[in-house]
Amino acid sequence: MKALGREVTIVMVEDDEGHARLIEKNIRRAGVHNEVVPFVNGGDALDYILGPDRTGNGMADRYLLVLLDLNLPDMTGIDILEKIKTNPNVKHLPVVILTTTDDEREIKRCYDLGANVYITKPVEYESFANAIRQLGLFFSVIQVP
Amino acid sequence: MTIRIGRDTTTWLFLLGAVLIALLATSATYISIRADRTFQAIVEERATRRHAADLLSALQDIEIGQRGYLITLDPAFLEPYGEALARVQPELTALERTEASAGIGGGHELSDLVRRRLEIAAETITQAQAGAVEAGRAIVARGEGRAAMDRIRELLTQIIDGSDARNVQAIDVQHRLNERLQVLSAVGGVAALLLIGAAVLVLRRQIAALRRAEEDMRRLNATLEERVEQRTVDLIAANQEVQRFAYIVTHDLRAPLVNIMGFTSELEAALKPLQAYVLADGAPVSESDIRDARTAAAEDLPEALEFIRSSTRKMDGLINAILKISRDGRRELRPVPVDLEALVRQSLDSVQHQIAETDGEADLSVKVNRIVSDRLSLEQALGNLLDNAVKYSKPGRPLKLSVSVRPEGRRMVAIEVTDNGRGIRAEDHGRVFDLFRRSGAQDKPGEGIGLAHVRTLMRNIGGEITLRSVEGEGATFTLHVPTDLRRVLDEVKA
Repeated sequence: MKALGREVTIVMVEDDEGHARLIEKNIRRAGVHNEVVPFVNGGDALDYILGPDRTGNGMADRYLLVLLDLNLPDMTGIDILEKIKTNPNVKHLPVVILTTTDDEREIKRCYDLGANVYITKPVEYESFANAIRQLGLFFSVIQVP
Repeated sequence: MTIRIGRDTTTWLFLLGAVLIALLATSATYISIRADRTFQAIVEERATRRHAADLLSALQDIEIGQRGYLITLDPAFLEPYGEALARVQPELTALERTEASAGIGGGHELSDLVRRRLEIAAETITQAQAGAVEAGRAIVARGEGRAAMDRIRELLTQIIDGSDARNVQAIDVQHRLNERLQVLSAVGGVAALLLIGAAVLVLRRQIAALRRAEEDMRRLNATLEERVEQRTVDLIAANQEVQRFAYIVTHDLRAPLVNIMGFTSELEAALKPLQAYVLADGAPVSESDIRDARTAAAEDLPEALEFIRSSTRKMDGLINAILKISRDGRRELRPVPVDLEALVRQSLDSVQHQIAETDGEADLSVKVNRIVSDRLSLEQALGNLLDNAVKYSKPGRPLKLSVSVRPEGRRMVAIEVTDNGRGIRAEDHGRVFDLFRRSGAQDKPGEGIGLAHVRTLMRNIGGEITLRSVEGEGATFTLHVPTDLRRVLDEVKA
């Protein structure tokens, strides 16, 4: 997967190791072999995306795709989403919300804040695996400017 | 209640007043009737006395006129004689009409004597006028007239003396009545003053009670709307909390379930290459089949099993945590007198060792000591806060821990735990009290149950927990505890 000829790095923010493993397995199964950088909490992920000073300065020319879980131990995924989408340096990065809740208001809130895709983690594994594999399609059409 | 007692008192006071006034009026009337009667008697006695004196003087005038005429035969003496004669009968009649004369001189003795005396006088004068002066004088010399006159004087003097004595008596009675009236007036005046004083006192007390009741009513009315609003806000907050709790619980329970289902499918998927190899039954097995089977047996199967096991364990842990929280809500509370200073000191002692390890110190200030509450709830809540303070102290900074207990209004007491630890981000001030949620770097073990547990404990005893914190500088958790748990329980029952 490339954007403007450059490799896209997948940033996976997921505190549940099992989920992280399942997501990665299915991404691979979909034929996507990009690097996946996993984070188990929001603070470390923000440090990576916005830099340790959280300003986003000098981070604008990286090609990242963010897979975000909403329920993290140290902060909510909504906070992270908001921080990414309000930072002029990184707000262009595509963000995919991956979460266990299917609360209508929360989905709407995420889209309002600028989330690109919202995927509910269903208990039935097949739909989950399908949804992740759909992401492969999504990855192949995203255009990172 | 107060007002009703007041009303009874007033009724009794008015009744007492009415009875007293009736008594005074009756006595005064009685006394005045008696005084009237005595006065009447005195007036009568005066008349009796005057009539008696006038009669005597008229008889004396007659005697002087008679004697003068008999001596001189000068008709000028007959003038006062005739004049006095005219006065005798009316005075005698008037005297006889008075009661005082009754019994004096044996019934008609006085009138008989007077008639006799007048007859003698008339006779002598008639004799003298007829020229028989000596015959007239002889009648005088007989002394009958003088004797009659003496007796008359005696009788009249008796009447006058009797009348005087009765007069003195009547005046005495009148005097006594006057005295009695004065005493009665004085008593009446004092009683009236006392009654008025008591009535004023009772009225003032009643007015004060009424005013208080009015004030209470006004205050209640003024705060009613406020309280309804507050209750509504509380209700909405409680409802939102229940929703958030349900949301968290379902999300957190679903997360391991996704793993279990997911890795079960992975297990199935990993089984296929293994079966292809193991159940080949002599059929040729390709190189890649062997590789896949080895990967499945060495990596995929153990990994899936491990995740299924850990997810199951996690789910069990979550269910236990939820059970613990819900058990807190159902535990029977026991309101007992609690010595807050001793309780805080005891809790501080249990973390003293860890505080000493960081060269830290703890201080305590207690302004309220005794409350009635559930001891176990307070111990657990305070213990949790102190454990957190020690656990999340800022590395390299000696821990400074202070606990203060102070009154908060009349019905609450605030137990404040302040530390200089790493603090909590402003965004997470609400979130830290949610079940399974933690703030800041996840570098300490924990499941995100402690503060949720403390909040449940506080809510159960009618209290609350609040938080003030600046990230990096420290945190202050305040337990707001009702001073009397019995009242809270009563209100819940009602």
